[in-house]
Amino acid sequence: MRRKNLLCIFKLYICFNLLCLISCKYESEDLNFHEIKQPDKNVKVTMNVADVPNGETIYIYGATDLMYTINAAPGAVTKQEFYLNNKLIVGEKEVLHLDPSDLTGNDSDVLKVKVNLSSGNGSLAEVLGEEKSSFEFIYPIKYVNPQINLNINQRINSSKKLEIYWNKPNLEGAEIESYEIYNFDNLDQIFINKISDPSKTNFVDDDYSYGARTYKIITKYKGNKIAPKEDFYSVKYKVFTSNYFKTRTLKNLNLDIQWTHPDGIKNKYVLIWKGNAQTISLGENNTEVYRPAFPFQEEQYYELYILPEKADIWDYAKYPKIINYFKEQKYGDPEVDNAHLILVEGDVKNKLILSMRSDKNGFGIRNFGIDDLVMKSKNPDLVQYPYYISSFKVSQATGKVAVHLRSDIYETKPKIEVYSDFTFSKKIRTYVSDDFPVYYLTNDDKILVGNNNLYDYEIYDLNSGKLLSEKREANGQFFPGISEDGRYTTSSGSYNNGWYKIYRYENDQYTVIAEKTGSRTRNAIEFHPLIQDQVVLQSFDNYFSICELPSLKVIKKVPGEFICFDKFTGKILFKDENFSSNSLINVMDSKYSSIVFSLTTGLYFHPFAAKLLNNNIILNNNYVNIGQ
Amino acid sequence: MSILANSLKIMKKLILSIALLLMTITSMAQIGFGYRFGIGNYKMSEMSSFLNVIQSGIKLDYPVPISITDNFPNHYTNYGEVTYSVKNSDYGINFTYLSTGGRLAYSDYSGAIAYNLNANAYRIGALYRNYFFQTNQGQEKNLSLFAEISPAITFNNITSDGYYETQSGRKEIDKKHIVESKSTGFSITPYVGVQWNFIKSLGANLGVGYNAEIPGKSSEMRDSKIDWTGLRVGLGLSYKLIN
Repeated sequence: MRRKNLLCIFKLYICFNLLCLISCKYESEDLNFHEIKQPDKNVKVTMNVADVPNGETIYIYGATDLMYTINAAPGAVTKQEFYLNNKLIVGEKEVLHLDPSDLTGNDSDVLKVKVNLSSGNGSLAEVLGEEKSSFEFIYPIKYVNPQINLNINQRINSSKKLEIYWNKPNLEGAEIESYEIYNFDNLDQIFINKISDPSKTNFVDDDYSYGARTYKIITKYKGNKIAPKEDFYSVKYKVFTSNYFKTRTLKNLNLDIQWTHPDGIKNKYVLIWKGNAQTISLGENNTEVYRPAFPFQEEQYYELYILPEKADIWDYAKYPKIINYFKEQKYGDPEVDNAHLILVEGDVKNKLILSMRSDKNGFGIRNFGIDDLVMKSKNPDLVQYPYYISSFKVSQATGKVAVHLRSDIYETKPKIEVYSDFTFSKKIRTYVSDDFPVYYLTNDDKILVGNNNLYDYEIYDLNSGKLLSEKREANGQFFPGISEDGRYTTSSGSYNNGWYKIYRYENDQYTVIAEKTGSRTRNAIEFHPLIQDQVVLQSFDNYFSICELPSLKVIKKVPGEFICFDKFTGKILFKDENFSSNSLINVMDSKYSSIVFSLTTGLYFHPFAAKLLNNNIILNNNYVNIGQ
Repeated sequence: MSILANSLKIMKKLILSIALLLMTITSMAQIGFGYRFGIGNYKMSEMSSFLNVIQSGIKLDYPVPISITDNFPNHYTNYGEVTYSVKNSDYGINFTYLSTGGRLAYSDYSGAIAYNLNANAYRIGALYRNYFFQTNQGQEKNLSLFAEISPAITFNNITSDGYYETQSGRKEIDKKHIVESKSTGFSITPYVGVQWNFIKSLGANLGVGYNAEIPGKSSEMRDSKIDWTGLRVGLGLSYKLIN
């Protein structure tokens, strides 16, 4: 019994101990609570990608760094991911790099931005990622190739100034801020203008007058999406060649230089002629320059500066200039040696001016139009060795041509051949001659042939070959002459104080109708080529008289020395009475009323080489037209 | 958990063996049982440092201001003994259960996170007690002073647990922060007190002592020492079987 009690007590004791043991195990429930403000449920996230609103298209124009910002209120961004066409791309430091090669190129390209946001209050749930919200932003994205040329062009506007214009580039999503225009070259560029109105696509260059110029136009776009684009344009201009110049001889022999701007731009000009600057006002295209004598022996040059309207005329040297050359007008070969050997005669019938050269067979005979002196044809094979042309005459009414041929071979005698016309297609007659004969053709097919000893002459009928008359004057040597119509012949001499005899052809013989000794006349008596019964008597006393036949009544007495008639117009070319001091030769009108033109001759002027043919004063192979 | 179960099994066998031994000797002497409830303080500075290490690790994974709420404080002790009394001396064996812990915790409106580092120990030792002053000696009621000394072996058992809890539910903390460790230490406890017997076989006692520990340490805890050294205060009951 006692053992049972002991065991019972022991068991109770053990249980008590165990109970206490378990109950005394250390435990704590302290949770260390922190008071934190709970997050606002109205969380907002704003996304800014290159200032493009969410859902609207982002345009890129090349490899582009897009700035972006993500703002959350309240809260903190825990994740931001960018997907281009659902492919993750990486943005760095608020910059998102996009390359056109990453796009498909069609309209389906999409940039998606996923943003995760936490409360930002540092709570346990936020730390564990359980307190968050997600946002998604979608932007269609499109690549537009910015390489659109301005297609710059030019025109001359109504003010006759150069206007540069271009097409406004239509870049989708881009807006033009301005155009900057520069005058560009390889060394420098000069700012010209800035156009801030995007709709204006032209500008007028007030500073342009002529020539090459390159413009650089910088197109600037708003924002920084598109780099400023440069376009270049070089002005297309026509070269200011000599063709745009025209020179006219004025009454006073001065030259009127005219020009036309090749592109039609209205300018001011400065012309430098023999070191003297002449200003030409806006809108005018010609100026008068002084020509001291005719002809210029050498080519003359002048400079024409082309200035824009606003230019200071004294700064003309800064502007483009053209150098042009003036040469006397020439017929035949412009550059021919020994031009003084060229012979010229008018062919009134055929309205031609014929020329030959007295020492070269190759020159042949050439014919020129009477208006422009442009060669119509030539026949270089006219005369064959051993002959060469010495001189020639043309019948005014029939066009027959008489040619005096000489030869350097002594045994070969000179001769005069008469042809039907300037084509020399038909030889009519041949007459034995000597080296320097005097011969004339008349309108009624007579030919007067005199020897170079000036003692006698014969008149033949070209058609029949019949000798019509022979003449020998008792006074000795004389100058023979015959009128164009063949009705009059003259004999005159300068010796014995001058004398002359005038014959009229009647009843197959010539009868003296007037004669005078001690007449103070000299040289041959000249018949008017167009007006019958008029002659010119040249006096020793520095004048000549135009007289009427048969009375020899003086119609006009002109100071100076007669040179020739113009067979086409009847005008008279003569040396001025003061020729020895002023070297002038004058042209008197056909009515003998006034001098229509005066010309200062240069050195080496020989009256016998001067011709007046259809209002062209011809001196050797130079000519000046006085027809205006 | 399996370690704890094994310890309990060992303890059970030991107690039963002691009980059988006592049953064989009850016919010869006075056998007594005692229980003492007390409080002790502990020298857990290294365990505290180890807790700081754990705190840093947890903060890395759960970056909230989790802080130490319990840092191995003083805690109750449970003491039991079986003695054999000869004249004024008691000889016996005793058993003490020691428990304290460290805790990390944080909570806010959205949930809580907590981590417990539990330190428990079973101290089994020998006992010698001497009653050196006694009033009313031989009377049923008497008052006596006593002093005792107890060498012992300490079986330390370190466990931990942790969790976090939000609206989505409660989840265990990452296993890498969980620590389990066993170690063994040695100690000796001198103890003095006063014994008042209500009746000759039943009395109550009040005493104070000091536990000096050669602490055990564990490599799982960076060799942190589990040092139960400290003051002990206890209030106990004793019962003696009088022949």
